[in-house]
Amino acid sequence: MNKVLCSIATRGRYFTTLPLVIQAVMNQTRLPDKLMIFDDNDEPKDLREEPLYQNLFYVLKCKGIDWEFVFAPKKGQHHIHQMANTMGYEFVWRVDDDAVPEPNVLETLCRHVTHDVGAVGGTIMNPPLVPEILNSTGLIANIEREPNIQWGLIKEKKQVEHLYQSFLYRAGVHDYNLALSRVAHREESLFTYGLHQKGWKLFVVPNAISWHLKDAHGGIRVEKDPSLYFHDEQIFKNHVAMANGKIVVLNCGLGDHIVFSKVLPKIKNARVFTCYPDVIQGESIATAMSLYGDIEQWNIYKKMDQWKWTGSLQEAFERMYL
Amino acid sequence: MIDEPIVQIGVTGERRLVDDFRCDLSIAELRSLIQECRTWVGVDSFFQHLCWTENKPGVVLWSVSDPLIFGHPENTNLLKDRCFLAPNQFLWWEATEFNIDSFLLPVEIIPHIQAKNL
Repeated sequence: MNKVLCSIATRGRYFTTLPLVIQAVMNQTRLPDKLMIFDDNDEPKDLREEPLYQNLFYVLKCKGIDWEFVFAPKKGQHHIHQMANTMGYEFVWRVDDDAVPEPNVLETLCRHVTHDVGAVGGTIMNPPLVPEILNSTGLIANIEREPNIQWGLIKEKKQVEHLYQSFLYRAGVHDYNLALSRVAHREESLFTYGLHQKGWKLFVVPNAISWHLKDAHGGIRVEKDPSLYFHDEQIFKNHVAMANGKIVVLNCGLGDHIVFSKVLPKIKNARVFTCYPDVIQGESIATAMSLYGDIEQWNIYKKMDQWKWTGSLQEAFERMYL
Repeated sequence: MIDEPIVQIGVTGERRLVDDFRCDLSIAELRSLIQECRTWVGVDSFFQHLCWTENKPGVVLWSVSDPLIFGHPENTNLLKDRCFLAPNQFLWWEATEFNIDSFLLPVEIIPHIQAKNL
């Protein structure tokens, strides 16, 4: 398996769970190739001044783990995860700053990665709840009706449509929705469901347990404004509403629309948003922005740049939508 | 040099180069004109894609955009030299400076137009 970046977004947990998580990462049986810690605190500290972290950073160095500590833009954790997503690693293991993984977690998650896998997650234990096996399906249609499948004791590998927390994912193949508010409500479900929609397989697997040491303080979603959650929930619901179809956003030039006209007949159940309705019929780009917030994920030129594309424009559209 | 009727298409304000200059045509009008013509010559714009969807090959003059990405093999794609290609093909074209030297000269282009069974 190729290179794995371990990404931790942190806020308000310098001296509670963050050191435990860093220690757990450095004690993995399969070490990540790099550890990135994104500091989203309002008043960030230089942790090189703190004796505890001096020791932790020393151990990281001794174990040969490349690490970096960066101050995040304070726009919410989805912006942080998108930074990690685009750093050039093949996989990102995102670890919450209060979810302490057991030593075998990364090795176990990696073992289940094949060429068609987009993400793999394990069990998230939530003390003091007693671990039990849940009957959750992991289907997006049931997200309002069942507890998250990762909250239960996972006894056998199961394919799902979305994940919730502390998972390993294939980087650079799907973007985080940056139109979500700072609370980033549903960001992980939206992201992993997007992987599923693009045809990547998602799994929950046994023997990969992280302990969610919940604390009333800290966390990267301390915002209490309900309107932010409502805003994000609407974006999430609008995406899920297209569960059986494909969202097509043509925020591009006239020539691009004409080329895309050869691709459109191959897409089943497309909901199209267009700049040139006389070439491709559909709804307006303004409507797409109001429904989905961030439409950059459908920017074909940004994607071709990201893919270092050398094929034709038609083939690029086909990669994006088929 | 080309003993055939020539139609110039463009938008209001462009310089007239031939007697038959048709401005601001709709997509439907352009499609109709493409069906009438024997061939066409143009730069890398939406028009080459429109002709492609109408199965009408022509001649495309390239400078900084890569015909392997944005062109169609059915056309005669005239690129002077790949050294003129923009390093990043996916930026807005307005960000690229116009350079007349990156195009082939008219005397180099006309034989390719004549070769289109005129």
